[in-house]
Amino acid sequence: MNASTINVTTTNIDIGKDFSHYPAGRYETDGPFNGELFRAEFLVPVLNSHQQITIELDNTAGYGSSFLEEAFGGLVRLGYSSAQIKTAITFHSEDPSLIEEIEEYILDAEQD
Amino acid sequence: MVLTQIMTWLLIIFGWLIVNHQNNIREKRKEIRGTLDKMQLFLDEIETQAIQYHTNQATNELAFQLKRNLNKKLRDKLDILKIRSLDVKTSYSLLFKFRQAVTLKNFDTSKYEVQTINDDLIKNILLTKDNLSQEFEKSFAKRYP
Repeated sequence: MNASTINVTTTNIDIGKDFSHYPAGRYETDGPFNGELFRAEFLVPVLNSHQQITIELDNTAGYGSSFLEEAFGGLVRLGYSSAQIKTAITFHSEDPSLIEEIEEYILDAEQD
Repeated sequence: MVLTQIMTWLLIIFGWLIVNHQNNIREKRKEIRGTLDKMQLFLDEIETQAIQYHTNQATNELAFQLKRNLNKKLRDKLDILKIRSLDVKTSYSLLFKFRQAVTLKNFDTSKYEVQTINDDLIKNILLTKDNLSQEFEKSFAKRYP
């Protein structure tokens, strides 16, 4: 099977609806809907199964940067490259600063 | 005679158009200035909340307020400035730096540590807020030199 015949499915993840309206914190000890949990339950399976997803960021009460850094920068620390992440994940938000922030965490984690 | 009258009326109409146009510019300037002043007060409010949170009062309620203010509420206010023709493109990067200064470290964490006003975390909050605030003033000054 060559690359062009790999089944790539596209799904959407709405953080506010599928995970929590109130995401908060990095780790389990910080709260029930933390960045580590979101990464493990939603992002890692997508990257492992060659899916492409669009993540809707706008339907939550707001993000702390610690949640965003752990969820997305944490992917790089687990061994995924920024190129892999960029290919698999598209972000949607009315707020360009949010997408810029996440992209910075992914690149920073790669440089660390 | 008729030509003179026509010229007079044309001058009156032309004069009125110029005065009206200048009035509109002044009114729009006042509206944008008013919106910008509200934005600056809002940034002050967030700064106060952020310092409160990090120096003595790390409650879930305050964390929630800060996230709400630093995300949707701030973005909505920025959108209003954009609708009113202020160039805010460069402000988005500074907005995220401000949000990052408040919520990346020592925030929503079980390992919270009380900061003093001289700690780098607090200084960074003040600096990033000032940068954002100043960027709005620069955009305004460019629009209305």
